[in-house]
Amino acid sequence: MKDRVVLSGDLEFLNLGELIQLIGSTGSSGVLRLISRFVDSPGLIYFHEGNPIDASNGPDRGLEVLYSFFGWKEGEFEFSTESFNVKRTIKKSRMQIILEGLKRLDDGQIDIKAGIGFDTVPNGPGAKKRKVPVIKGPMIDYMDVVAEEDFYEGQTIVAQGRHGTWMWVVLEGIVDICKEVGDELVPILKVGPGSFIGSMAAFAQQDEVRSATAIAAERVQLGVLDRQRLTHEYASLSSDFRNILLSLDKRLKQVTHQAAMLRLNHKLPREKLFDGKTPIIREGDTRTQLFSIKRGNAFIVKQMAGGDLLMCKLEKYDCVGTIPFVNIGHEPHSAAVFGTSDLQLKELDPDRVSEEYDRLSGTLRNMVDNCATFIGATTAVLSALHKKRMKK
Amino acid sequence: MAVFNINKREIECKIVYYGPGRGGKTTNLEYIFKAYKKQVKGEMVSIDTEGDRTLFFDFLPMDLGKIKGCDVRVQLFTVPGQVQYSSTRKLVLKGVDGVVFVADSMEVRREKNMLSLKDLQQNLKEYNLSIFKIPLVLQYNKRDLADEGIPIMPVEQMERDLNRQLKVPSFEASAINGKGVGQTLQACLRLTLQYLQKQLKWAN
Repeated sequence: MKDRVVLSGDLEFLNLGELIQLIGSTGSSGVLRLISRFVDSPGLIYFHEGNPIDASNGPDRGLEVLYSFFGWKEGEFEFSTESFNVKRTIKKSRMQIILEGLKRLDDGQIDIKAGIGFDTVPNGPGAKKRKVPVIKGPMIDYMDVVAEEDFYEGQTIVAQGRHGTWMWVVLEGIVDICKEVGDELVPILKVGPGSFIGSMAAFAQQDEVRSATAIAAERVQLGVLDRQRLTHEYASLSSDFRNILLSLDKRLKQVTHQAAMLRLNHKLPREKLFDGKTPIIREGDTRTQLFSIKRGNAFIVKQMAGGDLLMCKLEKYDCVGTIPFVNIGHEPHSAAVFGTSDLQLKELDPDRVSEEYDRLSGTLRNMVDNCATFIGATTAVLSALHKKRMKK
Repeated sequence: MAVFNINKREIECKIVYYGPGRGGKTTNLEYIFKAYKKQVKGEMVSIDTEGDRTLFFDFLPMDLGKIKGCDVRVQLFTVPGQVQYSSTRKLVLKGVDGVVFVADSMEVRREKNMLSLKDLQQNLKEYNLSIFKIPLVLQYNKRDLADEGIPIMPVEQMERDLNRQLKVPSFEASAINGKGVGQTLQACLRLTLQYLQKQLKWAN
């Protein structure tokens, strides 16, 4: 048999359970390769006449390895018909493997390799452990880590309102990202290994005021990032691309602020503002254009029963539309864009933007992805809070 | 959505047993597995999920004939009721061709039945399927409990509770001793195959 890829695609579209069923029902023999940004070596599953007979990931082999692949929720797959010489270590039927794998996944016994995983974390002293979503980043590039720092449970890593431009990547442990509103400290997200602390806006200026507070939820080890190298890389990017990064950062700050306000039961302003107006991008729009704002303001709005939710207010140099390389859970799929009457837009070339993204160093690309995951997760928190309030 | 396997000249379709926990879904499948041994292909897969078990096996219905010259192979599944098993539920319900809803006749389970049926409707909707269109039969299980003096609901009441709008075939059963199990399955198979045939004609 010749090596040839006969099927490939995205694990978010076709998950492992469906893939094993598909390969099973065609009775194919070959190797299924899984590639995840969150794991440093590809996962391999060997099929003989539609049945998995062995699996490997780095030096590990066997059924347990195959089960662990059910946690690879994001990534790519590739099935090739090729000959291989492996001993049969797996004897269970494929449906047994699929159902057992999914059950373990739902029972929380499998480590999820994706932007948002679930971890058991202590919920206050003596309290029962419970599962909460924890945002994890992709594999850490240690080339950009210049020092390591340890923090104890409860210790503040950065405080909102203070000045500082240091940036860290979480190496171990979980950090609470909180927002201070008045005297209250409002928890927004929990972030774990691979996530970044410190905003990309710090690349653009010498001085940065921290927009949120980060507190170690347990013993935490952080890697201090080589800010000089990263700032240098940032400076070498095109101005359009730099603006996209800053605009992402701005969206994150705004949705975080809105979520904190709602959590404290503060009213959000202008909820009915967009009734009857025509959006410039409708929610669910399938066009994939990306624009930069030249003049005026754009508003990112989630239209919900009982009242619109204003998520972001954007201005000159910010971008709206489909950002080709990340999904932040905003327009056009899940939000609409409204504009002031003086709004002027400039269309950006999505191919050029994508190319520039592909050329980023591992660390900077991870930061961008991580920021997008933060926006998506915070937006989900924000929408849920808004929905709850509308029900009242 | 049945799958055609051109090489094997086989149509693979999926029937799912749905219903409240401990209502008798697994008992139904266990009985079918034992009583129709000749039509069962391969082993029964049984996974212990919290509060319930998830079962699966392949079934080759004998007397139903072929569709367009292809044999029919049916995957029989139960689906775990607990909310947390969303991944399993998704895999099982994706592309489902027919549903058997197993309701519990015990009076104390009345509300559980109705909630579970509603839950089924919701879950099907997520895959763009309508409970009013999909081949569906109801089974009122545990009728034998009346003999033991356990209060059960009259069939008329269960019809009113569950089948007033659906108007689908319904069967009394006591799965523990096999009564009504075959009848329920046959009815669901017949409906499912009729539905598939209709879809195929339309496609032609």
